[in-house]
Amino acid sequence: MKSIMVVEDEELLSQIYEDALKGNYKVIVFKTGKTALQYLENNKPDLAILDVKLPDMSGLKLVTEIRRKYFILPIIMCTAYDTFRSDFDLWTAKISDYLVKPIVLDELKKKIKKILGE
Amino acid sequence: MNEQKYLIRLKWISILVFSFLMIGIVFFGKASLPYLLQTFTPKFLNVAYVVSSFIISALFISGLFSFINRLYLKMKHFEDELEETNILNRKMTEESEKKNLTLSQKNEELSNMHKIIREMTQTMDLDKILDVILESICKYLNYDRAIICLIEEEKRILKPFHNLGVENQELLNKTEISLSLKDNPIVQAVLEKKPKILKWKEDLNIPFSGNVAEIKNKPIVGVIPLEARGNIIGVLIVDNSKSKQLLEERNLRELLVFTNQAGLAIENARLYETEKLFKEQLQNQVNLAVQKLEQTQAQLIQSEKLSALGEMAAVVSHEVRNPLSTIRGSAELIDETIPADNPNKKYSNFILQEVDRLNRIVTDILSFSQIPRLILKKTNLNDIVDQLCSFLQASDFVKYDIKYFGLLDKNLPQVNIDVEQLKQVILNITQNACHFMVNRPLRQLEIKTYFDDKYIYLKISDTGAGIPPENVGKIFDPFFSTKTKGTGLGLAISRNIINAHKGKIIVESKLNSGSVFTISLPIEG
Ligand SMILES: Nc1ncnc2c1ncn2[C@@H]1O[C@H](COP(=O)(O)OP(=O)(O)OP(=O)(O)O)[C@@H](O)[C@H]1O
Ligand SMILES: [Mg+2]
Repeated sequence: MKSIMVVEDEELLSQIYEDALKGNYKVIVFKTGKTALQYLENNKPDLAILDVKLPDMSGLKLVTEIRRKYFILPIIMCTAYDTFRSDFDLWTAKISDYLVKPIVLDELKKKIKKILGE
Repeated sequence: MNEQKYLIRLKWISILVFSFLMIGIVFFGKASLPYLLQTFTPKFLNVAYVVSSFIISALFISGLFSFINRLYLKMKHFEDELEETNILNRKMTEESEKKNLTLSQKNEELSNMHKIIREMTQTMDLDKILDVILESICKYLNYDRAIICLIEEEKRILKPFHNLGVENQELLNKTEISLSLKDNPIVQAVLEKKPKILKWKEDLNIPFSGNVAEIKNKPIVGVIPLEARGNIIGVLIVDNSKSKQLLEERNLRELLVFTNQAGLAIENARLYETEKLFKEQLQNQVNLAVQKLEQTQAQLIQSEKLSALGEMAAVVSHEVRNPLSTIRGSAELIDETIPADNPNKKYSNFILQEVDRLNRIVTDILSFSQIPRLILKKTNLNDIVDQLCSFLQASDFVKYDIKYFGLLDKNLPQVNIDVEQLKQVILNITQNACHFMVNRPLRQLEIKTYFDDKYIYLKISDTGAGIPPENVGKIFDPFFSTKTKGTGLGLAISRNIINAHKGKIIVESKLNSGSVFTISLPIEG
C-alpha cells in the first residue's frame, strides 16, 4: 500500500483527507511544516499533499525544504486562491499538480491516481 | 536826494557867510575909523581899506571855495560809489539770471531724466523698455538717432539690438561690430568702459544715408557703454547726423547718468525675461509633473484599493474556502454512503450544490479584486469565440432556445491576449445576453469580429430586454445586478480584464430591443 503524507493545519479538513484516502492508501497527517520535514528525515512517502498556508511556514517554502532532501517526491498543492495558473507556475514551484479549495474529493483521487500511475 | 540837500545847504551857508563878512567889514571899518584917521592920511586909509577888504574877502572866498570843493569832492565820491554799486548790481542780476537759466536747464534735464527713468521702470518687457529708452533719448535729450547695441557673448560682437531714427534698417540689421576690432573707437569705448564723443568717420560702421561730406570729422557721435552690475552689456550710440549739432562733454554727462539706469533696466528686463521663461518652463514642468502625479496617484489609488481588496479577498477566501472544503468533503463522504434511491441523497446534493455556489461567489470576488495577471499568448480571437460557441451551442443556446450568428473576419490578426481570461469575458457577456433574452419573442445572438489598423473588435449583440438608460452607467460597477441571483461581478471582472489588455469595452443598448457590447483590443502589444 502506497503512503501519502498530508500537511494540513485545518483539523477537520485533514480528517476528511484521511477518511477519503485511507481506504486505498496509508495516510500520515501533519499539522506543521516542521513535523513533516522531521518525518521525511527517515521516511519516504510516495506522495505529499500540502496546504499552501501552514502555521509555521508557507507551503512553497516547505516544498523548497523538501526538495533539498527528497527531490523526487510528487507533491500536490492545495490552495485557497489561484496561486498557480499555468504549467510554468507549477514548474517554478517544483510541484506536480495543484487543487483549489474547496477540494472536490473525486478530483483529488483522480489526480493522485494519475501521479502514482495507477 | 542827498546831492540836492547838500547844494541847498551850501547855498544858504555861502549867502550867510558873505553877508556876515560884509557886515563885519562895515562894522569894523566904522569902529576903527577915528583911530585910523589920526595916524594915516585918508588917502592911505582908503587904499588900505580897499586892499585889506580885498585880502579878507579873498581869504574868505578861498576858504569858502575850499570848503565847497571838499563838499563837492565828497559828493562826487558818493556819486562814483553809487555808480559802482549800480554796475555791480546790474552785473549780479545778470549773473543770477544766467544761473537761473542753467538751473532751469538742469531742472529740465533732471525732470527728463526722471521721466525717462520712470518710464523705464514702469515696464518689464525688454522691447518696450528699449523703445522707451530710445524715444526718451531722442525726445528729451534731442538726438537725431539712437542705437543700442548689445554684446553677444558667444560671438564676441556688438549687434544692433534696438534703434530709433535710423532710416536704413536693413543695413543696420546687417551691421555687426566685432569686439576684436581694437581700432574701432566704439569698441575702444566699450573695452575701456568710457563714454566718448566721436568724430564722424566712415569706418565707425554706422549706417548713414545723408550727405556724408557734411558731417565728416564733426564730433556729432556719442558712444556710451551700457553697464549693468559691473559688466558692460552693450553700448548706446547717439548722433546728431541731421541737425549736425556738435556734442559737448555736458551731453555725455547727461547720457551717462541715464545709461547707468538704462543698462540696469536692460539687464533687469533680460533677467525678468529669462526668469519669466524659466518660470514658464518650470510651470510647464510642474504642470506636467502634477498631471503625471495625479495620473499615477489615480492609478495607485485604484491599484491600492484593488490590492487592499485583493489582500482582504485572499484572506477571506482562505478563511471561507477551508471550511467550504471541509463541508464539501464531508458532504461528499456522506453522499458516497447514501444509496441512490435514498431520499436523503437529495439533501447531500443540495449541500454540494450550495457549496459550489458559495465558492463561485468567492471566486468572483477574488478575481474582481485582483489586478488580472495576464499570461499573454499570440492568439486568434476567432478561435476562442469558436471554441466557446461550440460549447454554448451544446448547452446554453439550446437551453434558452437561441439562434446564434457568427460573423468572424477570417483575416483577423492575432493579438497578444490571455486566453483563459478572454474566454471568461466572452462567456460573461454571452451568458448575460442569453439570460436577458429569456421570454423575449426574438432570441438572436450575434458575435462579430473585425479590425482596423490599430484594434481588433469583438461585437456581441443580443435581442434581449435591453438596459434602461439610467442603468447603462452602472452595469460595469461591481455588485450591480438586476438578476435575482446575480452577484453583479460579471461585467466588472470583464472590464478589469479588458483594461489589463489595454483594451476597451463599451455598451450600446436600446430598451426592449437589445444590447450590443463591443470590445476593442490593441493589435500592437
Ligand atoms: N445583455 C444584457 N442585456 C440586458 N442587461 C444586461 C445585459 N448584460 C448586463 N446587463 C445588466 O448589467 C447587470 C450587471 O451584469 P453583470 O454580468 O455584471 O452581473 P450579473 O449578470 O447581474 O451577475 P453575475 O454575472 O455576477 O452572475 C445585469 O444585472 C443587468 O442588469
Ligand atoms: Mg453576468
